[in-house]
Amino acid sequence: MNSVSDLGSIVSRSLHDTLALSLPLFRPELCLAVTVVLLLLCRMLPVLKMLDSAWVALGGAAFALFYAWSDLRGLPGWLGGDALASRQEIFTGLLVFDSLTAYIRLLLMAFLVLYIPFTKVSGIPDREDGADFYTLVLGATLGMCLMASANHLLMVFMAVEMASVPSYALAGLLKGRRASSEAAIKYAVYGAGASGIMLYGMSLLAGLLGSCHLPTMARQLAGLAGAIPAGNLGGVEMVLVLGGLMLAVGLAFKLSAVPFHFWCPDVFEGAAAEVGGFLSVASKTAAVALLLRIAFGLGMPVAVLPGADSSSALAGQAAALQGALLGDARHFMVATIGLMAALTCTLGNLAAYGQNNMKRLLAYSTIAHAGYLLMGVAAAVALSGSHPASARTAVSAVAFYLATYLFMNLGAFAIVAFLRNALRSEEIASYAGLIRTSPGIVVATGVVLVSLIGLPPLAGFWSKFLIFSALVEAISLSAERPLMLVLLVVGGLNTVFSLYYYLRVLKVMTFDPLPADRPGEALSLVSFPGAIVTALAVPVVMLGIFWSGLYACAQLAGAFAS
Amino acid sequence: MNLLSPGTHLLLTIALPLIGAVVLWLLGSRGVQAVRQSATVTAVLTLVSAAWLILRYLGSTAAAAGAPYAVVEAPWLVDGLFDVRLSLGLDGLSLWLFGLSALLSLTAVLVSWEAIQEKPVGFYVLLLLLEAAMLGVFAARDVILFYVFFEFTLVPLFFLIGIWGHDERRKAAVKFFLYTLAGSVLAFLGLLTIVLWNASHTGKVTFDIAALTAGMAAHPLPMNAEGGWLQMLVFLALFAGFAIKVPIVPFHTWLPLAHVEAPTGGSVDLAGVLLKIGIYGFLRFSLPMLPDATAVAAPWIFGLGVVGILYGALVALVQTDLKRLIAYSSVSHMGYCVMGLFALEPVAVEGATLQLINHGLSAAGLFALVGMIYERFHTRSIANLGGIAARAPWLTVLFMLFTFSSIGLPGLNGFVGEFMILAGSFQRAWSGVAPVWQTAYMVMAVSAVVGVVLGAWYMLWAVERVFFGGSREPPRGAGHAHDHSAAAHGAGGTHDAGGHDGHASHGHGAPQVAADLDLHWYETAALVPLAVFVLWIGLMPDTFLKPSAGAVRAAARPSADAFAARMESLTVPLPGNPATDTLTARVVPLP
Repeated sequence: MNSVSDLGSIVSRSLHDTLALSLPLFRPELCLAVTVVLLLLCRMLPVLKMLDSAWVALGGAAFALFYAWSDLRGLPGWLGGDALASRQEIFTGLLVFDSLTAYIRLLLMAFLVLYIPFTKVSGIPDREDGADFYTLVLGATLGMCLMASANHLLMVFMAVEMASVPSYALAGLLKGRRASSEAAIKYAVYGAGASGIMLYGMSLLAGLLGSCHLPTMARQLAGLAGAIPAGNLGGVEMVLVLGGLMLAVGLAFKLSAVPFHFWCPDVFEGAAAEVGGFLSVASKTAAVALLLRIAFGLGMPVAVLPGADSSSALAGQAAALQGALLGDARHFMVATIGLMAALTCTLGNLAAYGQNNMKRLLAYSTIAHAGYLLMGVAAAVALSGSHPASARTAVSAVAFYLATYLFMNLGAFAIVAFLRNALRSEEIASYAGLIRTSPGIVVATGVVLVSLIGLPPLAGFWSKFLIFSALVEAISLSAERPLMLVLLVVGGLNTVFSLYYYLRVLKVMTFDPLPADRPGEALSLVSFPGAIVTALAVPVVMLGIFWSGLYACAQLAGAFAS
Repeated sequence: MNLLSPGTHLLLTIALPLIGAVVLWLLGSRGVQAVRQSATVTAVLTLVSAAWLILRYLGSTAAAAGAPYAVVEAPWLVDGLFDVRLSLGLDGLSLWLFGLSALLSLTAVLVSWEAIQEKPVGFYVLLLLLEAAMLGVFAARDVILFYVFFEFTLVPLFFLIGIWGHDERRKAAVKFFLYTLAGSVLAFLGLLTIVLWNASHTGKVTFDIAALTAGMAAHPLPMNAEGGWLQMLVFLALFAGFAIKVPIVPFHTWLPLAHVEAPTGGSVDLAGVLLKIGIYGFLRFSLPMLPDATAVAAPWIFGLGVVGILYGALVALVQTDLKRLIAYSSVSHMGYCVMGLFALEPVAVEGATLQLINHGLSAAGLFALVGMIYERFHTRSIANLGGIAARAPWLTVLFMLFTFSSIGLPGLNGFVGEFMILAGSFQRAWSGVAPVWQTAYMVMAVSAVVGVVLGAWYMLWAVERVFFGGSREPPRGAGHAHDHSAAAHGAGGTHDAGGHDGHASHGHGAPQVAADLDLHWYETAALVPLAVFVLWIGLMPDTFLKPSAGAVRAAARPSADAFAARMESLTVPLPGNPATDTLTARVVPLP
């Protein structure tokens, strides 16, 4: 390190860092990037125009899925794993590869592999738009992967923008539809505002802590208490809180958490159901991962920071530092996230009551589920200071939730899209009597919606159970007892609230009489749309019965918090 | 005997209705006759299997201790943190309810014989699914299975009411479903809190009910301000679920509507078995696991039970619809069970569990008979019915039997249950509560006796109007001819036959003779087993009380002890105060 003035050594070091260290752990993202380029190339060359862009995109996504899977398998903790380090900073610390990165990437890639056939069958995008659509989807997903692995505030911002900008365009995909254009504009304006505020917050934090590298920032934060005389701490704290809140605005926007959820119902209603599914599942997964990254990155105890290799020397120092500002930072984060969770969950569930449009209803359901996820994150952060093992369990709960949520919610949006094709309507009332014409679809809807409520024996039950179990753990172990108790009660009551509006959809489908002049035809399970719906609904049942395998993966993801 | 291990036998019993449902579905195209016959065969086979299992249990060594029998376990996820198993079994608490479910399912199938002509396949498939779910609820030994079966009892009944019900069926089905589901989700959240609390103390996530009961005894949920009154919160959550199911009075509004609109088969299962799950839930979960909260809540719930008895009886008195009357009598009679359970007195608790069976038999019988009357006369209005006794003597005899059972005539089953409940409650009121509560308890216990009188009043009034006196309603709705002849001949039994014959000779539809109005063979087959048990329990209650006594007392003991301790703490200890002395004497552990 002392003789780095030599330019050659710098180049060779960075080459080594990039080629030998970073790129092998970046293969899924590379696959996506290559696929995006291919998709664009296919448009230019007349010969390749014959090729359907959906298949190109699917091929790329499948490769990415394979690499994501092999990365997860290589992690220590997996049976026969240990091929990879448990935490590896790549690209000079801009990104980090650890179990959370691997897990979220796997989820996102699995999502793509399910999502592309679904859009292909549902007919949005059409052949003409295909290349654009899949370029945008893959580009946004690439940004989401970066969100999940960001280790640096610059990268956080870049990744959020990279995921958001294609999403704005996707929201306006239905060209010539006023509602769709309105949704795109609303989304873009809202998103731009939120990113601006987030960037402001980041600059405040970076300026105060002298770094954008999250672990360094945490170390600085821990050291701040000693560096600044006690009298001046008030001002510093205020700026920190302001910066933190502004950063939270950006994240809350991505999560559609109250009070930054207003875009969500309008965008979901205006955009195609396919786009809604993408925003609701992939975007949410990445946003939760990013929240975990920042919360744990800034609030993690010094003792477990990567720099602390010689444990004996640093242990005492770490213990001294732990008590000070870092604990306050965690407390602040738990309070912010917890409050947001309670509000988001309650408002989402209550607002869903009055909805007549299925996509709007699902938008509020998405908001409500963001609330449950935030509860898990709050519990994880609350436990991270004192009980790392329990914090890992809480993170695993969130990770498990995200995986089941993928199937449940994508399933719900797929059903909406296929029913739109069959009935030319997305109003709940137009589903009347569907059980008489398309019983299979109604059963699949039942499975998906009941799982969203969280009743056994479906997958949604276990995810809620694990979240609640993390909350109870936090009640009995952490210092945030009252808030966690409130969250548990709010979560429980919300589950009960949510019964009615999900079941109302089923009631309309089963009980209401079939209108005599229903336009459109029946939708059988033995068809391409039916096969897609089945492929999404069956895992919801299977994961409810055989959930231990997925939970093992989720536990692996939780290991990042140590 | 050893060919079939008890566990397999239990699994087979629960699976039989499911297998039957599949067979039925495949036979669907063969017409209504094939469908209902195979449904009957399935129900009979299940009943035989269940009865045989119960006999095996009674002959086994487990029976003496009321211990679990026929336990089957399947590990689901057993690793470091989780110890999740699916497990089924029977014990003294669930034994008779399990048998009752099998018995009433046969009744439900048989009473639907003629009534269901529309979409019979769906109807019987749902009825058999309901049977499997009911058997499963009582056999479940872990929280997850209990909850899954609990929910699965709702779904078939929801469709049974919603599709085959009467005019307002949709409203009734939705109300029934939402009420019960909202309650059951709250109850489930309460149970999960118990699971998680237990896990945070033992380091193992287990759903096993026995393990949880032991865990709650070792480290109870906190019942103080410091612990957030968590035990009370959990108790209230469970109460929400089970009280709606019973139903305890302010939560009963779904019941009359659901009963009136349900098809007869659905009513039989609903009144006969599903309401019992509420009391069973209290006895399985609340009383053993949350003794401190139960001790605090017991006087209030005891009071709600009494209010239910009186309210149900008073509302029943003014009903004009026979089925509605019986629905409200269910509210009233379930009030006795609630009262007996929360008297927390061994005799009363045992009486309450026996009364579950008793009410199951009598209410199912009465609902079945009302359904038969409706099939014959197309009305359930008490004002429009009359003089059935002369035209359908056997129907009348059975109706009278179930009525007497329901109002507690000595020698029949209802008497035993009610007597035990009231005796236990009086014992509690006069010598088992702190002086501050004593007057209230005495008033409540005495009011419950008034309920018995009211019960006899409305039931006998209805019987008198419907079965005796002049005939008011022509059979099978073939109105005018009969009205005319009734006016000409005046009232009286002999006239009825004449009027009826006259009607037949007029040749409206198929020729009908008086015998046609009485019970058909399938109706007899549906009701006679119930009648046998009504007499059997009435004459030899010990046969039924003994196998369950141990388990029932063990389940109630934690709460009874906590209640005694609480009452003692409420008693101002004055030297030489006789009240204190009696109370102290009563704190000795229950036998």
